[in-house]
Amino acid sequence: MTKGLLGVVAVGFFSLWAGTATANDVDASFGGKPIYIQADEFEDDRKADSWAGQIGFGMSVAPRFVGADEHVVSVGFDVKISYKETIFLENNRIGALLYKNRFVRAGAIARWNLGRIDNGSLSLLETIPEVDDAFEVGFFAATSLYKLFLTTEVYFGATDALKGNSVEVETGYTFEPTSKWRVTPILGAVWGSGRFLNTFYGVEEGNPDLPTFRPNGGLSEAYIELATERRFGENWLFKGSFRFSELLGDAADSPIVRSVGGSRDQLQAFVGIVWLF
Amino acid sequence: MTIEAALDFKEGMVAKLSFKLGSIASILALSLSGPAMSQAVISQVVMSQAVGGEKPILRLLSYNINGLPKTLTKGKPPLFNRIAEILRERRANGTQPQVVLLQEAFDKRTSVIADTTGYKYVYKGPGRRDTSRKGRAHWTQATRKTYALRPDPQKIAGSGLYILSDFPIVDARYKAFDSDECAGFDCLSNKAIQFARLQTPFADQPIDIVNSHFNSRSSAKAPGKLVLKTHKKQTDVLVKMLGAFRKGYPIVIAGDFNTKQDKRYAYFSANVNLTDAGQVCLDNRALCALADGTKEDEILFRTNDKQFYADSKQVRLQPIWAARNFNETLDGKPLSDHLGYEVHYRVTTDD
Repeated sequence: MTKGLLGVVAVGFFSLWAGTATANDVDASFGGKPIYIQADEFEDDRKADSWAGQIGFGMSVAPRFVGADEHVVSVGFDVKISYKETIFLENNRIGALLYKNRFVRAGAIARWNLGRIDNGSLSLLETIPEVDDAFEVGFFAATSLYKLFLTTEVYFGATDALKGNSVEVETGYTFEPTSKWRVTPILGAVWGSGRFLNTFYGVEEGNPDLPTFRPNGGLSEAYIELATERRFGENWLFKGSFRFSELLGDAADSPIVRSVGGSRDQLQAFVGIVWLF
Repeated sequence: MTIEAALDFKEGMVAKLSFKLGSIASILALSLSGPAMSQAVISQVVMSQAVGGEKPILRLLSYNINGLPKTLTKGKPPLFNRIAEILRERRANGTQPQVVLLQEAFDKRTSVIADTTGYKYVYKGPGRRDTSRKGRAHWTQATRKTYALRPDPQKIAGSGLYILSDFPIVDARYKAFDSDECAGFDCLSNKAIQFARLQTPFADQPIDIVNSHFNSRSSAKAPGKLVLKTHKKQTDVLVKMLGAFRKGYPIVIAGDFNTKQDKRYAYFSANVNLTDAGQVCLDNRALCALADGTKEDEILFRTNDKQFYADSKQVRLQPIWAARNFNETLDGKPLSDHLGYEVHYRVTTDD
């Protein structure tokens, strides 16, 4: 601002001088370095909202537990809230954006992992212990170039129920077939440490139905997802997301996954209406 | 009478050329004695002086120089140098546009045009970082991961805008378009509007100058409805900011407004509510001459480059000459994918 004022003052001086000149009086012989004028941006009364978010409601499909063959259809919610584009809460995750530049956004993130619940509907589960809810902490980093993005989340188990760590990476590109419709194909993968994978894919010694199994760390899942949004109002949109996952490595070799009640193929989907605020 | 004498502005003289065929013919004959291109330009400008009579003339050039970031193009510096050279040649002959508005000057090497052509005042920018951050980038999925959403589109380049002036710039402002006021690839540059107030020797009142480069159409690679909506938003921003900037002074708005499409032009002209210099020139051919080789549709319809103007109560502007120039080639390459759009305005006051 000071620079700008100086520039304008300097130019103002020239303008007083120029004011005495006659018509078409221009110093055509000037050959020096020009004076670069500093400009100020117009003040604008348009403000960005501190709070932003969305509440989605619809139907979701998910495996009964990680590695299960049976998928469950249920009422689904999709809640995301952010404050000043820095603090965010989205479903089972909370985070804070701590660093951003032109290409990278990074910060801290935490996730509430719902573990594995035995509701008695699968006989297999009678021999597989439940995994309690667990809390994970970590960090994220995202980069993008125009409509192409790449995100990474790293989590560390912070409770006794879930030890080990995991890394999720995904990339996607958003297409805009029309001004109101966006389609984003996404490719992603999950890597888990041995302790992390053991929580969900390991079988402890003495299980009457399944052989003992201790997975090693490695790539455990790869997925392809198609996410789409279709706006039908300024603050309303239809949302659909369909993710097909393939379990890999020791996760795929787990007796739980290879059993009658298990499957390497996993589907997650959500279809619903979202209100943006 | 020599050309130099006819254009001797230093003594406050205005070219006193009568609008007689014989005089013009003699000037043209003289002009052809030097390097062909430069002298042709000079002769054209002298003609505008003749049409302008004894009144002061504001010569304003708007030129999209196609100076995309150097990573996207190659072999451009010779073209930038040639553009600068033409402006220097015209300055040497006293026929330079006193005000030059550049668009798409993203490549740093385009600075040769600002730094070596003798303009005393240069207003560059806004730059890449001087961006507004309100709104939301249109291409991000609203429902994806929150931290992956970009509320502000990445800016790979600045606005690419320059105002070069022989006259002091006594006020300079800008308005960068907000994140939701751009569409497609255009969002990667910090599209904006420049506002400048020039203290000219033509009148006590300053003259306001506005330069901008509006959202492109097909090259934006965004849905058609979105691009049209965005263009309307940018027009609305221009109208709003004009309301904040203007103080009743005469004004010229020029640039690459991407208004070749009828719908865009209709909305723009209806809302900005200024006079299209090209329209006036074509409607008053007795008062306004077209440069040799300039076609009528290049002035009004088949162009995204435009100049609009408005008088004040005390100062009136009258287009007297219009040209689509800078049409030469260098080693077979055109200097830009646009032509220059130069209009000469006769300035009259109540004094």
